[in-house]
Amino acid sequence: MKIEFTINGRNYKLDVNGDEPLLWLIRDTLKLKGTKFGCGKAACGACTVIIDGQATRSCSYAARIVNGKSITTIEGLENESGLHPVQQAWINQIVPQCGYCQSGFIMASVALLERFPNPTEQQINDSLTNFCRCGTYPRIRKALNEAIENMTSKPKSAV
Amino acid sequence: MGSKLKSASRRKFLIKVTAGTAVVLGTAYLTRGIWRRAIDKVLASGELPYYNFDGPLVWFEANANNEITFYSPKVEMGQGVLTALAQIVADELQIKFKQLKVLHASSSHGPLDLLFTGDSSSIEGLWKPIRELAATFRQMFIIEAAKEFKTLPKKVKLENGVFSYKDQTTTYGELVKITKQWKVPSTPDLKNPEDYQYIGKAIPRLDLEDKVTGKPIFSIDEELDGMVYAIVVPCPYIKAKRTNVDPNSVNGLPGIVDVIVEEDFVAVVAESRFQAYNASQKLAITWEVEEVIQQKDIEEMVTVGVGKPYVIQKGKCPKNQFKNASEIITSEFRTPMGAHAQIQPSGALANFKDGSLEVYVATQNVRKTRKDIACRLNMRKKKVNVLPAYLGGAFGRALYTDLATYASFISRQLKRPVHCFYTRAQEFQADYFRPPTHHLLKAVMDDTGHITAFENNCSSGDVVKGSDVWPEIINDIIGADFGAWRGALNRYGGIQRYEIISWRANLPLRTSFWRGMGLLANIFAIESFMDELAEKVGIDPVTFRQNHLNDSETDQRLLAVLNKVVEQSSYTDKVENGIAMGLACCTDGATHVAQVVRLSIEAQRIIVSDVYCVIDTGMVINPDQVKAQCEGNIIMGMSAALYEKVEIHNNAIGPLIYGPYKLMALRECPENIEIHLMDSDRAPQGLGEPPMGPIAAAIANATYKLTGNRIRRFPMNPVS
Ligand code: FES
Ligand code: FES
Repeated sequence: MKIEFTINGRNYKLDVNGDEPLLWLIRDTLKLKGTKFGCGKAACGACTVIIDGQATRSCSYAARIVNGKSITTIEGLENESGLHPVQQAWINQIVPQCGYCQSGFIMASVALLERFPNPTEQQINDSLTNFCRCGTYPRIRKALNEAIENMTSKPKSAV
Repeated sequence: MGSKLKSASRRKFLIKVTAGTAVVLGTAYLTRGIWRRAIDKVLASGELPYYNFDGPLVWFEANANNEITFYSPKVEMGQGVLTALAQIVADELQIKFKQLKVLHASSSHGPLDLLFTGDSSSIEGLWKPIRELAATFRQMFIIEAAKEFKTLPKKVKLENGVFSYKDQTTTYGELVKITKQWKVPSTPDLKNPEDYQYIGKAIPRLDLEDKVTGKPIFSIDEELDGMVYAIVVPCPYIKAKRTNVDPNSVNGLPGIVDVIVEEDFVAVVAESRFQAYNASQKLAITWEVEEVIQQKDIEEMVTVGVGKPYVIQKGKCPKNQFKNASEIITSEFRTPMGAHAQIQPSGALANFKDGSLEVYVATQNVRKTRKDIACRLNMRKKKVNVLPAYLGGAFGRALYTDLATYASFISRQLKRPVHCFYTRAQEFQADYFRPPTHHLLKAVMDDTGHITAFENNCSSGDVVKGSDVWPEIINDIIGADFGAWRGALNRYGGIQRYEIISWRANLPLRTSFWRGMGLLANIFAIESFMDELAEKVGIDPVTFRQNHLNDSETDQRLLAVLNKVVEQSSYTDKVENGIAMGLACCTDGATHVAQVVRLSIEAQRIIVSDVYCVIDTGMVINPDQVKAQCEGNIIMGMSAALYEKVEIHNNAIGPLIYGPYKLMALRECPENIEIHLMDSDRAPQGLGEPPMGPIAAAIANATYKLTGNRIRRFPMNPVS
């Protein structure tokens, strides 16, 4: 089937198998490798992207429903003024170890802060349900707090 | 070859110059005799063997742009090894940190690291040779700079990558341009620790930006033109074999390229990953179970008394004390099989072209990966180039790279690049699990509450044995599986009469290396038992442990971390408002760790709010990353202790997905994890695993105070 959608502000028209998971379209058809495959069953969060403002596990999101949607992947976070404040906070707090899960965490965090600039602990725990086998959770928390602080105290230009 | 090396006489230097623009220097290291001597030492001292080995291949390369590239023999799997090695190298080369680029060495760089990346051995093993090599490299340039300046080498100053003499200056890059003939000098003196510019500093990891921007640095991200996707279908059962495959069952499915049926594997190949996956779901394969096996059978196999015993450590003989005792205290513990569950599944991209192979793969063991492929495809090793990528988590899993072999085979057959990674379910099925264990401990105590006789029996599936990860020679020399008994040794110098026995369980499934090997299970058993004994004689757990440490250097270091963690955590035996603290400690190799947790029980679940960890790991290269490793170990250990287990039901391995195979999530992660690093001028020791040791026992010991129930199994259940 034919679908049309935008990723990171660019428009795409593709002829796809409507059942194919969005993850493989992103990674293999569009060659954006920042979105990772971990489980293919919406269980780990490594493949998280933002679709129309919602953090979404792209491994379990069929191509057919992508039609008309606007998608942001990790590659779409940077702008002219540099890294997204969430990415910058991740660097400042030296979060990644192996790094494989981090795109997913960063995307889930960006979506969370777009919805709730000052999330409660419960909102954080409910939104960041991804898994990190290296155990970077304490630093993810610190980085998230730093991002919250920077994004709520500074003018919005960097976002 | 230059003149003889004084401090590194066994090291052999190789040197290459490419078209006058780059100079590289490498070293190969000799093996057999050294291995043997080291192993003898192990058997005598009870220390783990790899702690005594260095012997990798290391390459430096300087180019005319004044960049220095260091090819690391160790692979970055999250542990920060590339950054730590860079700090060591940059210090010894006396360059600006930014001048240094660190890349993974591929197998085309020459002879390979005999060891693999793992067991917390990288920094410890490389600490000396890498500094010697860097210093030699530096000296090569100093000699050339001296010629340039028309002075003596010892008059040349080097700071931040700039060589100077009076008002003349030059750089590594300039010297590369003008030098025609390089000589390898003797290894000069190493830099004075007081002058370290980078070592000991919390330098941010080199790979941060790539990892927060999603750069394609993992093997799964690799692509080549004309690539096809293969899905290899592993056997879903243990003790079973494949009796039939019907390739026609996928006929006509979209994108199918081929079905490969070989003795050792079956694969479906298609133009896209999705097509390959769909076809693999439809492929008709018949598996036949040879003998029905259930979880309880596995547990019976892993039981002290079953299988072959090896006495692995013996103090003065405890037999009489046991015979004459009025009371022998005994205690039992079990741990289940665990999965690696690293987030990137195993796999590789292989490209066979013109008689040679290039394999992009997540591997902790480049040498073995290459050997396996060359053997299976009957190719010369020279024709197989293994290019290690960043690992998306490994924890021991990436010591085995079956899919790299299969992808290579398929690529040769189809004459196309083949991308081949497991699905998550297959990753669980094809795992080499952390072995299940059983522990039986016995002790006799005197009136003063001192242990007068101690026996520790640990039964485990294989870790090292039966695996070809280690150079074969080790298995010949060592009887018991030192991976299985890691952590089981008596490291309390104050206990004099003891015997430690390792039982080898013969299991019908693959078990092997998992972060820390036996450490998690064995320390869980010993340190839980210590608390039980302390309670028995009415002595508090801290004093009881202190009483069993003597004045040897190693005991004193353990005592120091123990005392420090008590102070740091304000440890108390008192339970207040449903909150309790628990403590445990261990010595692993020459690293000492003590941990305290604070926890409560809510809705029958253990909720850990604080973890305090004090570690003495010798000199610290990068304090921030040592802390990160401690945090990671604590969380992985907690996850294993509180949530994880793999079981066998009707021969099927399960669970096969995260969720049912539960990992710790952010929600459950303790709010506060505080790490303290002891100051030390000892050489750096292993740290990527030792902090895994005490955590489970610390949790069990705290929980006991709340429930009066001794936890004897993982996943820990506070109420039963
Ligand atoms: S890959 Fe999508 S949630 Fe795991
Ligand atoms: S950083 Fe390795 S899985 Fe999260």
